[in-house]
Amino acid sequence: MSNIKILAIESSCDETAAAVIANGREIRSNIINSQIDLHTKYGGVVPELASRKHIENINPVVREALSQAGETFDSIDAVAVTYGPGLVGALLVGVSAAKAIAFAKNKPLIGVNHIEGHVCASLLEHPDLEPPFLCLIVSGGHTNLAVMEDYGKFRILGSTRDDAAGEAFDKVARAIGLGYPGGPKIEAAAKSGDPEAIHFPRGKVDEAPFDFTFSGMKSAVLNYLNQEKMAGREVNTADVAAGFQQAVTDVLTGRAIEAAKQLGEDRIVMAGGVAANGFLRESLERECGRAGIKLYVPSKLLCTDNAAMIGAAAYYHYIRGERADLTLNAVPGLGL
Amino acid sequence: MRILGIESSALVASAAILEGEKITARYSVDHKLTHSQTLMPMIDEIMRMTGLRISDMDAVAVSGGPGSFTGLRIGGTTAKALAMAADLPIIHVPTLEAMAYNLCAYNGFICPIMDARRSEVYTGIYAAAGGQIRALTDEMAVPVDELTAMIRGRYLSDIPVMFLGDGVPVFKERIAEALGRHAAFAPPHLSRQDAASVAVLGALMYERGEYTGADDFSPRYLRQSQAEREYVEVRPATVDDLDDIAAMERETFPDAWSKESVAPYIDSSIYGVLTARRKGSFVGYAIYQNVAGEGELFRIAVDKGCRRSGIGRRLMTVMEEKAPADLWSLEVRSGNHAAIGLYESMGYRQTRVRQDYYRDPAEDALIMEHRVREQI
Repeated sequence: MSNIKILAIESSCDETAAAVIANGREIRSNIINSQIDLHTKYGGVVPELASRKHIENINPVVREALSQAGETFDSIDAVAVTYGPGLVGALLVGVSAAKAIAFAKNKPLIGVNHIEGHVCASLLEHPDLEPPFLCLIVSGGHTNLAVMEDYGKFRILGSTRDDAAGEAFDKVARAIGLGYPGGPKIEAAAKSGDPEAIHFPRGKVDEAPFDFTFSGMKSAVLNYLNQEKMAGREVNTADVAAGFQQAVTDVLTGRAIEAAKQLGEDRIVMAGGVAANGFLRESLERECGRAGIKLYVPSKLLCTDNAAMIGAAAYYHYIRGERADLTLNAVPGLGL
Repeated sequence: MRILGIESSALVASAAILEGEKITARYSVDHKLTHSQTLMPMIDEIMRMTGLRISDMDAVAVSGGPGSFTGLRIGGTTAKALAMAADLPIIHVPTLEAMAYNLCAYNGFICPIMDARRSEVYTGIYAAAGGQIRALTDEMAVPVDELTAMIRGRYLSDIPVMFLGDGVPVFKERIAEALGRHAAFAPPHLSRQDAASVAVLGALMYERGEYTGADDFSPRYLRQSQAEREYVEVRPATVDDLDDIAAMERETFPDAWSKESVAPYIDSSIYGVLTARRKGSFVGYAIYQNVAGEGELFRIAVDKGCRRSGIGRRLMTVMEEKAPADLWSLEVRSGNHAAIGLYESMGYRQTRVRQDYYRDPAEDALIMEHRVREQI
């Protein structure tokens, strides 16, 4: 089997995306239509608006992906699509479109887990990278430590008990008046702040060393803000942002390194939207260097939601003969 | 001419193939299964049974709304992607008109009603005569009582108005009560959305040139998303808002403040005026003061048509954010239960009563306070 070209579609949240990937590793095109401007005034993604925008965008995005890759509906070998987890109305647009294209052109259909896709983003930039490896998955909806034992096969070591890391960023950003999207806003504000000025707790879960909890950290930020207000002191937003970002980073970095040491893994793949945070990337890179671990982090474009990563993941399902049929449905709460 | 009809706007999932004057295949299921799982296999099935391929079609006709937002998107995306992959045009067939078209052999008024939740129906009124139908109204989302009143006013004749759609089981009794012998209800085999009607009506539209490219189709939801509907922009008032505020004062309060008396509260260091706008139109305001950590809400009003939709709460929330006070107080008529309920839900508690404080009509004033922070 040589030169397998997969048209991949991703619409799980607020990005309509399509890509053509060759042999699971080579990006022939990677089109992302972000709706961020549409949602900003509501302070977060509005699912119904996202879904409405997806149906407007889906055809032009798919056409552009094919055209940039120099491919046609006839020349591709398979159609892949994210079927979960995500917003159900948003997922349904991608799933319905992929099924219709696969049917119309009689192509194999492959359903891909969005989180698996995030992990596979690194495959696109590191031709030598193959499982097994340790993954740190950090996004708006997920925080997981897992071992990818084989393509598409994960063993979960730990998950968040409450907020996902990205969710905590969004909530804290809102509380200190930075708005949406929280991750980039906090990272920018933290640049002029002192990460040591305010100490927020690094939450642990008893008897589950690789699980995460961010609710205590978030509450501590809210309490701090309230306490300063009551005392009539002006809050230094930059210090709060820096202190919070440091706390999240310490937790994520610490758990990942600890897991790698315990399992004897010498490679960590970080994936998901929060992996675009420069401070976290530098910190994990530094700690991995100290521990003799090789860190793989996708470039920022491939950290955010995109269809290239879906095409990468889909390839390994394709070569194993795994196919979805026309009953494929969106599964908003799909687990790894 | 061959047309694939697709219908998934509500509970029915339906697909049909029209070839010239013949419905070659029609597959409809009105059962609680998700359309995302059933619709595409249904299309696959009728294509396989007839030995046709999507590329044999001349166009895809899709029921374009109104209807369930999710249902419309499943049908709409399926149609768009099929049409894109097979390079076909799309015919956007209005859902209600296609439903009315089920009954095109009737001779009288037809009223399709779809349960639109929130006690409303998606509906329109159509006239059938000589095998054709004509829309007499726009598509609308209205309470069913408003619809029956409209029919009583304008669309009664010796022949009953024929109702159909999934709104019938929900509202049949109310319709029968309001219209009596002037209402009739379509039999089950004609009473729901049907892709065959979509395809046939689609063919007529296609001949008139009423189709688009695959990329240009979007469902017609008829309703905005909840977030857009409810989005209220709250801003500090400027002198340009004075006319609106004074007009709402006159509408709301017997002791209305004039434009001139509101003016000094704008752009002041101790007073504040906030306005609320929804889709650009003025829907409310609040006037308050904040001196040394003690705030007082003087006036708050919301447009009559927009009450009980969170605008008052938004105004007060923004007020408390913009003018952080340790203690907020306000006065309210003892009989204004709606306002008192709102204030209580925001943490205000009654502390005193001023007897016969208000005039027109005479009424007690309740003094309510909200301690935001304990005194230090």
